[in-house]
This record gives sequence, C-alpha cells and structure tokens, in this order.
Amino acid sequence: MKLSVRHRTHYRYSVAASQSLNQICLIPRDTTTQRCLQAAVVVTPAPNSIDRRVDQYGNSLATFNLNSAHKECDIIVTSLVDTLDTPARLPASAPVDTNVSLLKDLHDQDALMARDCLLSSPSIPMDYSVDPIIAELPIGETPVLEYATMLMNHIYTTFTYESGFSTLVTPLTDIIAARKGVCQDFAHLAIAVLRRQNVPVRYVSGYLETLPPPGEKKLQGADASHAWYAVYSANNGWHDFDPTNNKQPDAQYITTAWGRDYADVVPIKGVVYGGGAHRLTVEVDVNRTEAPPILVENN
Amino acid sequence: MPRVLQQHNAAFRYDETLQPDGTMLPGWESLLAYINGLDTDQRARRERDIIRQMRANGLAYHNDNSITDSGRPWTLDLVPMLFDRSSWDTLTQGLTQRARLKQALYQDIYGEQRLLKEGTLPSPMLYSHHGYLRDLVSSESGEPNTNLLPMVTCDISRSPAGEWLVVNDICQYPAGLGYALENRLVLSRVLPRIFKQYRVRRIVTYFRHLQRFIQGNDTQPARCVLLSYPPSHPHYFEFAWLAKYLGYPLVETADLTVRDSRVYIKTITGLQAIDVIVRLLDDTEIDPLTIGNKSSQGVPGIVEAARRGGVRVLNPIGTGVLDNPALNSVLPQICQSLLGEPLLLQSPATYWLGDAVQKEQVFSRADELLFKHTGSHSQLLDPQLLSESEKTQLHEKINLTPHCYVAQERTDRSVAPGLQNTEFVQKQITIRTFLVSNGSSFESMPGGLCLPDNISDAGTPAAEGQPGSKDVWVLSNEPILEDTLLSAHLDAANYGQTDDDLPSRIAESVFWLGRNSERLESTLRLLRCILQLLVDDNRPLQASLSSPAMGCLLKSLTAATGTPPGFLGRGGKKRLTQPDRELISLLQDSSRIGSLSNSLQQWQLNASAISDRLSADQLRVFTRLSDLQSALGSLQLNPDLCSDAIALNQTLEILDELQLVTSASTGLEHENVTHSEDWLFTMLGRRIERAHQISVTVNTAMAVDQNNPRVLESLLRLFDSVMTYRSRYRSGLDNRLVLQLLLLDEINPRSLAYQFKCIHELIDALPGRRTAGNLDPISRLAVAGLSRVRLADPETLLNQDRDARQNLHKFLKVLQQLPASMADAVTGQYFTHTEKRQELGHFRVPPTGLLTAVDNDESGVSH
Repeated sequence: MKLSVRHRTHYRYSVAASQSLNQICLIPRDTTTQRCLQAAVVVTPAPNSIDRRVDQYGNSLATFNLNSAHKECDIIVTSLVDTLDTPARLPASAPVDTNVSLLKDLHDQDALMARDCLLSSPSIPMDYSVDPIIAELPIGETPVLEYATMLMNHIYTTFTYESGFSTLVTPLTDIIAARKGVCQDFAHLAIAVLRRQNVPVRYVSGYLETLPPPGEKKLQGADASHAWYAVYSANNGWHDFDPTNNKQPDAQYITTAWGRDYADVVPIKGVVYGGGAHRLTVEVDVNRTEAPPILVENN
Repeated sequence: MPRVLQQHNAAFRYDETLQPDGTMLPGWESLLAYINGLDTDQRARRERDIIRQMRANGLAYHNDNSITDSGRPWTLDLVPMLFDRSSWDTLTQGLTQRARLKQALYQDIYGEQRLLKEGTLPSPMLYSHHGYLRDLVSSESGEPNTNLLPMVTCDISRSPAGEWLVVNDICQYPAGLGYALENRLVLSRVLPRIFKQYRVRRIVTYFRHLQRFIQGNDTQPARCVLLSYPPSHPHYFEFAWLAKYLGYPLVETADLTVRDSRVYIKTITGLQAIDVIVRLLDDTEIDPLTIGNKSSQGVPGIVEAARRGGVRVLNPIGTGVLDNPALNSVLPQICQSLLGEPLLLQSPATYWLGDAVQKEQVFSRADELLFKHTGSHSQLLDPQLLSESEKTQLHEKINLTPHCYVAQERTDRSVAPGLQNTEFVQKQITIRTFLVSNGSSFESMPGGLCLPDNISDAGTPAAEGQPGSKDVWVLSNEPILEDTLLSAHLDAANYGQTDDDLPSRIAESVFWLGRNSERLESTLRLLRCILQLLVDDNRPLQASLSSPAMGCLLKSLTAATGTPPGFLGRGGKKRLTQPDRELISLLQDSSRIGSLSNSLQQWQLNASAISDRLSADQLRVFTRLSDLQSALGSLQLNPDLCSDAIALNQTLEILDELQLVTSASTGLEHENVTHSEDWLFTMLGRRIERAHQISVTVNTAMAVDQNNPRVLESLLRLFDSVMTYRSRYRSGLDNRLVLQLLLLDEINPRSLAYQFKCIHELIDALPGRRTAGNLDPISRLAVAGLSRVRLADPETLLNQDRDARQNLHKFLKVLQQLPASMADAVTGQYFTHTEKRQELGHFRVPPTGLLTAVDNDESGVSH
C-alpha cells in the first residue's frame, strides 16, 4: 500500500527569536515491511542548509539552523512510503532465559540493539514502579512474543485512552495508578514491564492511517503521529505490537524511527535564543495515494 | 625509617624511600638530610614561602569559604615525591601503553565496534555507562575512526609488593594539570639549589607537545580557545593558569556560538571563527542539543559542528566512556585484542557486577571489598563504613542495575615522607600522571601531581578534596636544557593571540573592573576623610558633627555611593547627628550595594572573570585586597564608633592600606599593561565613573556651603588636589579657584574636564570608530561632555551670587547624567552587539497523539 504523509509543525514566538538550532526525526526509515520512496523537508524561513544524517539505529535525522531573527518557523516534512502487510501469525519464540542466552551469541546490528534494549534508558529507569503490572501478568515460561501479545491485550483492556491526561514527564507510577494514558505512555509502560523481566524491547514512532466515518469526508490535518513497541526474539528478530489499538501493526502503519525510548527519537528538538513564549501547532495527514506528493526542497 | 617498624602496623605498605635491600635511595637520602639540616625556623620560613607564592599566584579572589570548598590542593608539601630515572622510564612504558590502549579503545567504540561484536567488551558494560554517547556512534558502523586522543590522564598508586597500579582513568580533560604546573613553578623557587643539583626533568615538554597537537598540520596558526566552566567552578583557577601558560584565551560557553557548522567567539568587533577547542568540561556540559543534558549549559550545535569538521574538539567528545572502572575487569583481554600486547600496568583487581558469576562471588565477601558506581566521580564506597540500612540500600541498587557497579580489592598504598607544620610525617600517596599525544604515540610528563593522604588502615583509597599536594620530581643524570614556553612564542609558528579580538564578555568585565575600582577609591577617600576628621577634631563630638565640613562629607558620602536616604533623604538630619550606624553599614555591610565592603566584593568578582589576563603583580594586589577585606569584615565596630578613638584608628589603619593597595593597582594598570583594547575599556570605565563621582560630590558639597574654607579644603582633599592647589595658586582657599581646579582645569587629572577629555580620546581609540564623520550615540555623548566643560563660562558659574549658584547646580546636574548614558551606549555597541545571553528555551515535540488525539470510533482505531 502506498501512503503519503504530510507532517507540518509550526512555531510562533511572542518576540523575535535571534537564533535557533533544530534536529528533526520525522523522515520515515526503511524497514523489512516498508520502503520510504521519497521524502522532503521544507523549512520557512529558509535555512542556509538542511543537513541529513543517519543515527546509530539507522533512523534519518535532519538538522538546520536559523541564524537571523524570526518570529515564526514552519517545518513541513512530506514523504511517500510503500508498506507491506505483516504475516498474521506470530512465529514461535523462546521463553525469557533461553531468549537471552541465545542473544548472547548474536552480534549483528539487530542483536546489538536488542542488548541495549535490555537496560534502563533515558526516560525509562530500571526501578520497581511497574511491579504491580508484572504481578498481574507474570511472564513465567511464556515465550516472549506470546507474552508481548498478552501484555498488549492486557494494557488495552485494563487501561483507558485519555488524551490530555499525561504530559511528557508524567511518571509511569501515575499512569498505573490512574490506569489512563495515551499511546506513548502505553508503549513506555509495556517497555518497562518487559525490560524488568529481561525481554529486549524498543520504542517505535510512526504514523497510522485513519479512515473517516462512512459517508464523511476525511478532515484535513486530523491524523496523528503514533507510538508503539517492538520485542526482540532471538529466533526471528523484532516484532511490533500496538497496545493502544490491541493490534499488530500492518500496512496501515508507517514506522518513522526506533530507539530505546521516546528520548532517542524525539520528533523535533531544538534550542532557541530569545523568542519568549512560543505557540506550537501540528498537522498530520496520512493518505492512500498512487501519486507522490509535490516535493519542493529548500535547496 | 627501618622497614621493621612498618611491619608492626596492621597493614604493610611500600616505602617509597627504600631500596629492596632496605637501604635508602640516594636521592631521598640527601633530600631528607638537607631538610633535616634545616632548623624549625628555616623550615617554617620555606613553608610560609610556599603559601605566600601560591596565594600570590591568584587565589586572592576566592574568599576563604570557597577555598575550603574548592577541593583545590591548598597546600604544597616542601618535600617532593622522587623518582629515579630508570624506575620512571619503566613506569612510563606502562603509562604510554595505557594511553595507546585508551586511544585504540576510543576509536573502536566510536568506530568499528569490533570489541563489541567479538564479545571482548561485554555490551551491557558499554551500554549502561552514561559516558557512552550513542549520538556519536556512526550508523555505518565499520567505518574506522581515526581521531586521536591528545590528553590521557591517570592516577596511579603503588601496592605493598611495589607494583604500580592504575586506580583512576581521566580521559575527558586533564584535571589537575594546572595544579601540577603551579606546584613545579613554586617548589623550584623554594628549593632552587636542590632542584638544580638533582637535575630534575622539566615538565614544559608536555605543554610543548600539547601546543603542537593543537596546531596540527595547519600552516596558519590555529585559532584555539580553552573552554572552561565559569569562575565559580572550583577548578577555574587552574584553567586560568593553563590558559595563561599556553597562551590561548580562556572562554566560557556563553562566549561561543555556532553558525552553520562553524564555531565562533563573540568579540567586540563581531563573530570570529575558531579552529580548535580544548574543552575543560565534561561531555554532558558541552552541547545541550545533542547530548540532551537537562541543564541548559553548553554551546548548542557544537557536536554537529565537530562531526562536520567545522571545529576540532580536544579531547574529542564522548571520551568519558573510557573512564568506566568496569573496563579494568576485561582490560588485559582488550589490550591483547587491540594492541596485541600484554597489559603492562594492572589495576587493583576489579569485578564487574554485570557478570552474574562475579556478582555472586562479590556478594559472598562484600565487606572485604570496595564498591563504586561506574558513572560516579566520587570515591569508592567502603561497606565497613556503612550502616546496615545503607548496606541494604546499596545491595538493592546493585540488584536493580548490576551493570552499573564494580567491586574492587583493597590495596594499601605506598608511603612517602612529607613535612607538615615543620615536622616530618608519613603520608600514603597517589600520583596523577599526564600523557600527551605526539601524533604516533604518547609522551608522559616527567612529573605530575602527587596527592598525599593520611594513613588509613582500611586500605581505602584517597579521599577527594584533600587539601594537600606534592610536586613529583624525576631525577636525571643528564644536563637539563633550560626551557620555557615563552620562547615558543618567539617561534615563527607562533600560536599567539595577538590578533585575536577581545571577547565581548571580557570587554564588559574589564569595563566594570574599571568602574568598580574607581567607585571603590572614591568611597575609600570619603570614608577616610570622615574618620580622620573625627579623630583630629578636639571639640566635643556633637560640635564636630555639626560642622559644615562634616556635613558636606557625610552628604557627599551618601550621594557618591548612591545609598540614599543616608545623610540626604528621610531621616538624614537625625543621622547627621548620630552617623555611627550608617557609617558602620557603609564600611562593613557587604550585602548593601554601594558600601565599601560590597565594592570590594564586586571588584574581585570582575577580576576573577578575567583572571587569566591579569599579570602576576596584579594578582598579588588582589590577594592583598582579599586579606584587607577580611580584616575590615572582622573589625568589631560598636554604635559609639564616632567617639571611640581606638576603633576609629584601627579602621583608619585598614582604610589607609586599602588606599595604598588600590593606588598600586591603578599604577599597575598604567605601567604594566599593554594599552590594548582591554586597557581601553578599563580606562573608559574608570573615567566614566570618576566623572560621575566628581559631578555628584561637588554638587552635593556646594549645596551645603559654598564659602566655608573647611568645606573647600575637604573637597580638595577628596580629590587629592591640595598640593596642586597650593603650588598653583599659593593663596588662601578661594571658592572660585577651587571650583576652577576641580571642574574646568583640563590639566588636573582629578578634574571633571580632564575626565571628559580622556573619555573623548578613549572612545576615539575604540575599535570600529576611526572612520571620519562618524557621530553615533557614543561619540555624540563624548563630544557633548567635552564641549560642555570647555565652553563653560567661569563667570556665570563660579561667582558667589545666587544666579551663578543655580547655574552651577544645573550645569553639574546635566553632566551628572552623561556618564550613565555613555555607559549604556558602550554596553549597547560593544557588549551586547551579538545576542545577549538568554535563557535557552528547550522544546521537544511529543508524538502529536498527545496533543491532538483523534477519537475516531468509526474506524475502529483510537490512538
């Protein structure tokens, strides 16, 4: 399936910002189930250059500086991605201990990342906060991929999606106490539960195609970016799980980037001098298409 | 000291002074004999010499509290640590290998990652260390990294068996290098004869190699800066030392800015590109954009600039990962794998608790071992010194993140003799050694920083922040070439900073240094005049307080220090009859802006911000000022100060000396400092402040009484113009002549006219103003001031009638405003011409699912 994505981020500053330095992680990467056919970044006001590089996990990053005074900044990333459906049935996997000891003998990039994903990470420290969830659903001898499915289902059925409930810094203990959250919280929760039980697990950021109610026209800019988790099985690699929708991501999902947690793949991070208070608006459109979007890069 | 005695102690320690056969090493024998031959007075004199020199070297601008907090080796032992040539050379082989190994390890971790792939380096050991910066790992792993590691530093100590062990690796920047340098300079002066006779190898070679490395292959002199923490940092002093010695400017993160992959320093004439940054701060403090530190320190964009080759950062960013003590548990294998050599220098046996087997063994005998978090700079934890609950806590923490902990065997470090309050004492020692890249391999500094420590039986390592240090001497059999870095600056390949522009922050600091020193002098003069008048006056106290001269001085004090209401505003009348409390406050209250104590503090703050630019003589002046400030602060002044002749005299004594020292400082400014841009800004600050002081004081005094000879005399005294007046006019005090001399006489350096003349000249000489017909705000103000005093008509101003008095008042009132406007204009053009340092606003965009979630039930998907 071919999907086009248009992700627009707009900053408006109360006073002029004299300089800003930005790094964006919004260009979809290639995976075993998707190919990014085209991608373009357009920034207004135009920077001298937009530099692209690939980070250690293979994600696409772009950096740019704005060196003269500006009161707003508009960043539009457009891409065209070809996605494949994943097989409906999960392959067989091993229980935790076997999985970890199998991993010890693997040294390819996937396995190295899997080992990194056994440890605490910037936003998910190793502590006791998720122990109540583990008590509800202990892993025991369950094969890791099977457990990942059970956990996805458990979060979906015992937690309520509530937008606006959490912020970037809401700790997992609050999410667990309220049994509420959004996609990022659910992904982080699952990651903490799995890592605490020695299962390699990573954070995936991306998009999801949404369909309008039958008979209605799809709203412009109403799609959203999304987040889920992926578990590593030493027998057959990484597998994705979306606890927000209780679904294994399929051709409707676009992967942008992956890392140990949100902090590794922050969509836009930057430093601005001056600027006062800023207002942020974000619009995302994901559409089925055969024709590529019109791409006019800055340079 | 016979070895037999030692063995009575609980633990056996290697004695640095002894040979294997129990006899004393020749170098030590004659050194100790020499010191033994000194009597107590002679030893005390040398110990005082050391303290005096170290203070003179520039600690003056830290107050006493900050010195104890600083962790700086405050004292230097008169007895150095000695190495004979052959044992040093053996040690050097091990140190050099370690440096090569650390460099190879760095290149592998941030390059091919072969060790990780073959399993020699356990991945959780690397991944769990906070110094591993994933952002710097190339995705196209397999690309070799050829960056060199110019500065490798490690701490070594000697085991009871006589084997040197590496106890600490320091690969980000050579902390302690400035101290080692200072120790050497001081001790070679205190023991010149012995130093020469021993042919001690010179450490200057280290700095020369470092300069060469910084220069690299560029044919143009590399523009290099030393990037350090701000002056409040405990190590700032040594950074300033280093910068001065190496001849590179010392900058803070606020001085730098990144534009499209190039790094620039903000100067008074604009942005200037730099090629090399020697960073003297941690990885996490360098770039908030990439490394994602929560504190908003650092220069955003520097990592990206370095990645794209826009600047060289030394040591490269990411080297903190090499300090991980857990590496010691696999270092022999790593050495074999990377260098194909056996590891020469061992470490105390180290167990990494990320390894389940090692962890179990460690827990079975935990009390025998020492523990450490792999990411902490602090010392090892000794379970024997922990309470039961602290032990349980440690145990729990280790179980949660075992990869982040190591355990280490205890080792009893060797002992060496030292002198403490003229008596010999034995201390356990650790030595910080410094290695520098020569391109192909490494050179070790022949010497280092020895950190002595009181003997402890537990075999615990050195505590941080011990206030002691020793120089390290490597004795040589060969003649020593006299060498100093200063000659390097005469070379054709001169790395000097002669054509570098003045950083805006420095310009601002020296400007304020000028203003504050002038303000300080004026406050001092006023207070001295007042106290002296009180001492000299034989009349009853109230009579002398109500005299016009005293009233004039007290009111001027309030006006000139800007501390209303004081003697001018509300309650001023009452204070004039009971001035004691107000005077004490203006002498001692350091929290009151305008007080003498506060001005002293401000001055020292300004000085510390530019300490790397001050001359040795200037630093000595600051040391003395700091002493005098403490003396002033500790004076016991009671509310009956004005009638207490003893207290008045004690205070005057301190004020007199302060006056002398500040005059010395002013003299140094003129005589010892090249008249470059920083001098211009200091002078401009001074002149602007003095113009302000004169106009305010004269205006206040004239409002009290125009004709009273005592008032006029006080005025002349305040502006140090009594002698000038006498030699010029040889007459009694005439109001018109006094005002003529103080206001309009362009030859009297204390007159208002003279200040405006100088300001005009100084402003003309500032960079970027030599174009003709250029009348911007600064020049306009300068011309306005000068023409106003030049065009003033003495008749209409200085006569004794009412009109003239009003004219004078208006005239001074206008001139009073000018200096402040000038200061603003200078600030606007030179100090804030690039953006003012502002709060960094960090923004991170969450997945928009958090912001604009679409609840689209029909599609069956909510996200």
